Amino acid sequence: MTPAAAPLPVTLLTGFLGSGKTTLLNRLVRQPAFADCVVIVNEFGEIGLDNLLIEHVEESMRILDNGCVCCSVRGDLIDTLADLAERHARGEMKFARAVIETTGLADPAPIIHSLTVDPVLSSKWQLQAVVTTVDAVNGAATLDAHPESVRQAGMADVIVLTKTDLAVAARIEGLRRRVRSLNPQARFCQPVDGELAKLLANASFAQGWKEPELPAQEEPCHDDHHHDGHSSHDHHDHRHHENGLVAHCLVFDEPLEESAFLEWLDLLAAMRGENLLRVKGIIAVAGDPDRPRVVQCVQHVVHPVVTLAKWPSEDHRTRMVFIVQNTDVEVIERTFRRYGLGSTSATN
Amino acid sequence: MKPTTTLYHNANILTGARSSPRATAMAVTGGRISAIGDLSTVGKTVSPDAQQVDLQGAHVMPGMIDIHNHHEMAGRSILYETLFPPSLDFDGILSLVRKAAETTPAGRWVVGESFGSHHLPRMDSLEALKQLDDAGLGRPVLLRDDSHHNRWVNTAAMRAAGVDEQTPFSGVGGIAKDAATGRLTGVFMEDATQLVDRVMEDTNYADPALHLRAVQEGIAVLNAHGVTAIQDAQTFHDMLVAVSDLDRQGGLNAWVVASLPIKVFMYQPGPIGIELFEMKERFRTRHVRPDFAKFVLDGVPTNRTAALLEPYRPTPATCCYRGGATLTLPQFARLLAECERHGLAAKIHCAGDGAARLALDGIEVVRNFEGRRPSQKRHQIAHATLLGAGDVQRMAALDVVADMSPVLWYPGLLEQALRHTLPDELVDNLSPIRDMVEAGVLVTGGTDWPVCPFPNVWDGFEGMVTRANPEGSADATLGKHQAIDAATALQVYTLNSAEALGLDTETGSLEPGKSADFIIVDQDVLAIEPRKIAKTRVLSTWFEGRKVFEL
Repeated sequence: MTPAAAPLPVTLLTGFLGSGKTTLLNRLVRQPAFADCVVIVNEFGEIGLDNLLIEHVEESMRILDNGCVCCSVRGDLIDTLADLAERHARGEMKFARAVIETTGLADPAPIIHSLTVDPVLSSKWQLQAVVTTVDAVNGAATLDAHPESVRQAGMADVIVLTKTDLAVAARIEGLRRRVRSLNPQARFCQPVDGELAKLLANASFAQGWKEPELPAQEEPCHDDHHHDGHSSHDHHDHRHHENGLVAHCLVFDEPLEESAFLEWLDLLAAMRGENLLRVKGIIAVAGDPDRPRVVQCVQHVVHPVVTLAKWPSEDHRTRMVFIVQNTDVEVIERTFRRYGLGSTSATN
Repeated sequence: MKPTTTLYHNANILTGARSSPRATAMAVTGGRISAIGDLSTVGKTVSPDAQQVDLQGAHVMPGMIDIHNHHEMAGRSILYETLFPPSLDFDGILSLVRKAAETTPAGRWVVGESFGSHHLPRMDSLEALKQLDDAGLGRPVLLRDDSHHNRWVNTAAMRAAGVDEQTPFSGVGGIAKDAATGRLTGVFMEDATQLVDRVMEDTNYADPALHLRAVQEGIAVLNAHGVTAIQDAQTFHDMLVAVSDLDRQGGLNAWVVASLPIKVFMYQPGPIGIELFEMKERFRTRHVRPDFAKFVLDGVPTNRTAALLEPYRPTPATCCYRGGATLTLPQFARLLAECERHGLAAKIHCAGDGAARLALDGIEVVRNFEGRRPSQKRHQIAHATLLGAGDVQRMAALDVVADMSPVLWYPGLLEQALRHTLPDELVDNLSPIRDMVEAGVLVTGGTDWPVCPFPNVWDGFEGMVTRANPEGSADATLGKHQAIDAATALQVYTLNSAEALGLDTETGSLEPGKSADFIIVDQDVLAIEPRKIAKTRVLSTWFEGRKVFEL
């Protein structure tokens, strides 16, 4: 037996029906960074890569003119991913990365879960980023009408605003603001941005901390006001509701007791997992304050903690962004103070 | 038809009510108590044609409540299995097995209980297995120990179950192997019991009629001990079907609160956990209340499978071992919240103080996450015999009920068995009942029958008052300072238990509007020497005004 190969990077591309996923995919696979890529789609008909298709290898497999493989999901996506990894390991197929294009109505959570938790898949694949397309023309109406689209935006690492050439600037800015308030942690990119492919090729889901951003007057993780009745060290804020979805930020000045903090995160994921779309945080740890920890949760799953060699910015405070749906964010604050602070936690 | 009224008078009635604890007359109409007090006041409430019964000074009490038993399993053992006391010696067990095998039809298993767990080291050998094989006359044999957490089976049983040296096992407990040869000895512990139980159950107990008869038998024995309400401590699907069917046929002579298992501990056929929760309302009848879920957070101290805060006594092979729990805190809290969403309170088996701590932590997590709300339930710690520092106070603060069972508050065989594995200071402080009462914990009483051979609530009742073994010397006590008075102990076995089960509007005391669940006994348990309480004889038991047992 050969030693286990390094997991293959995979990008999850999601976005509502007609939001420009396929157009983006078309562009992406032409970038050098995505040259040796396998594209996993639900149906060839949907993807519109016809002009690229040059060879039918087998019923569910096509070779594109740039050397990429396009593969349609037969049965279960999990099986398809396992099968591709197997063929790659046996040397039957050569590719360096994969992009999964979900259907427009898909909830990304189960796919993220499988890629990060399923023992077979997570050893063979490494999720790099969840990319969500939001259409600048119809995006606002879609967010109003379709809860799926709100979840897709809430779970994204990267938001790509599409069709910006067809919409007026004010409208684009309004939509951007709205999506940012849903997901302050996400990076915004232009589809034409040549940097996008490079960004995605080098992204790391596990280390995906990025300073949350919002227009200056709304920045949720930089507010310094103290809430009445709270201990002096935590600040928090949350944005307006969107289909029951709220982005909630928590900032804590003092370094935290790592084990207590992680136990709290486990409890939160166990008790509120169905309501947690994404949680990302950078944590200052007592005893090791120069090396922050990056934590991530998707639904019920708390991902292994990643230790960074240094802080990415001057701000060395614990900062977390909780993108939650249909739950009272007060429970996050209350249980953090009760359990997350370890020996300093309030006793009942 | 107008319900008939019966007026009982000239009686010495302990009502069990918090106010007016004594009375001399009671009127029963349509199975409910319509009035209680003295003859002059009660007499005015009944029409002249009411039937009058002069009890000639007889002692009347509320029907007793057993908060923890396995009545259907016990009924099955009585009807279909071989019963023997844990004190029976090794050869005695083998000769009973041989006798049972002679009359067991081919294709059925010989099943018996309860051998003392002190036999386990001897049973765990190929020589003993050979003896069990011989005694079984070719039939599969399965014997349960007195903790009900272990089995000893013969080669035919392992063959029938498809278990051999290669059978994988993970979980609490294990499959014992001979150290020299690696061959199975027939001893199965804790979760591994499922491997053999599964096949025995499917072979011996596939017919639902057997379960129904077992429920009937179990309740009849409880009635004979003066019990008219119980919590079945682990109610699997087939048991729930049986008890519910029996009630619909009009044959159930007790209130039965069911505890639906959240997680498979020992094997039983049929739906379990959430699947069972979702169908529970089908089984709700007038007297059957599927209102609890059952958790098993650890094993038993005698197996060193209970989760402790401090280590067990060291053995030559191990030191500093504390046992472990079956669930982590996040897992437990999540499941508990799920139970509450299904409207279920939880009965949580915690044999060790570590498991009790976990249960309290989990209940607190659920309260912290869910906030105070109407759906909040009054959970029970079952076998609240070992509790860590401060946990009695936490039970009170979290409104957690103490299910005191089995009787571990006086010196005896069980207490002695615990001293083999637990440090003395833990055993010396078993069952801190007085601390609980004073802290405001709702204390309830159970027997854990058939883990103990009889559902003898009277024994536990006396023990709470004396902390001495009713069969032993009055001077040999266990934690004498934890004794409570007789009136409080009576509440433990009546009204407290009814409250914990949500049955206090139906039963638990003799008060107007409640079910006429009463017993006639041969002495006034609150007027006699506490050392005589366990000798109380139940002369008759009445459920909803009907006589369901008479000595």
